[in-house]
Amino acid sequence: MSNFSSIDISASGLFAQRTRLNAIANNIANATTTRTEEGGPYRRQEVVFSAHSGRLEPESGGVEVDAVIQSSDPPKMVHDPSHPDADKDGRVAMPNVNIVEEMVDMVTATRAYEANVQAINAARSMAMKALEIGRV
Amino acid sequence: MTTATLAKCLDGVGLRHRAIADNIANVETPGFTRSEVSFEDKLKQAFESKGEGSLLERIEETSAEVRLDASSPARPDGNNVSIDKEMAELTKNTLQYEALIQLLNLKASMVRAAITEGKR
Repeated sequence: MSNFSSIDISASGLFAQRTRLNAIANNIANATTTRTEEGGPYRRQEVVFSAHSGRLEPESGGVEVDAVIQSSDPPKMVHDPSHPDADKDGRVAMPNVNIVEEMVDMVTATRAYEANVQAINAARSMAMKALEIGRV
Repeated sequence: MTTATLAKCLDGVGLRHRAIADNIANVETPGFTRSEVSFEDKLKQAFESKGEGSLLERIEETSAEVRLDASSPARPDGNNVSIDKEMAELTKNTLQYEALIQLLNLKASMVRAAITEGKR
């Protein structure tokens, strides 16, 4: 039924934006992490979205999280000779996370999340209204 | 006739809600092209065209269609969804749906009046 499938579409949007918020939270939490399992400093995570295939057919649509990729930007080199991970010149490779960029992304993700919630509320009120058909 | 038209409109508005939800869900998807639903024009044609089939049959034959809207300006990432536009469309669509339900109820109450008034 089309009214419920539109809720599924909005739910896929909620999931996608939440995944993005998780990645942003991870980036902010690890903004100064210099040690990771794969060695070197933490690398910024980016979430890639793709539109669900077969959009124009009935009972389909929505967004999918295609991948969470690690940014290939070079690490920020900071001069801090007292840091345990400093090289012989006293330079430390810090994560390629830009806090300001993350905060802006966070606002965008939050707003997009809210828009999807609004769409679900609208679908809900339409479905509730449909229940009133013939009840006068 | 009225009921058939209203039912077709409800179908179309329901499908449009899905298209808007899809556009909103993909507001951050690179290269995404927004979609839109049209059914009013076909319904209007069914009313205007004379000839084959009764008006009721012509109404029943119409169907809402989803099409991609490539004419809206795209952002640098190739996505042409404008969240403000979609939210406005969402509000309009919900109101339209509620108006259609009201009309359907009005029609039902008229039929009901015709049935019960005759009893007296």
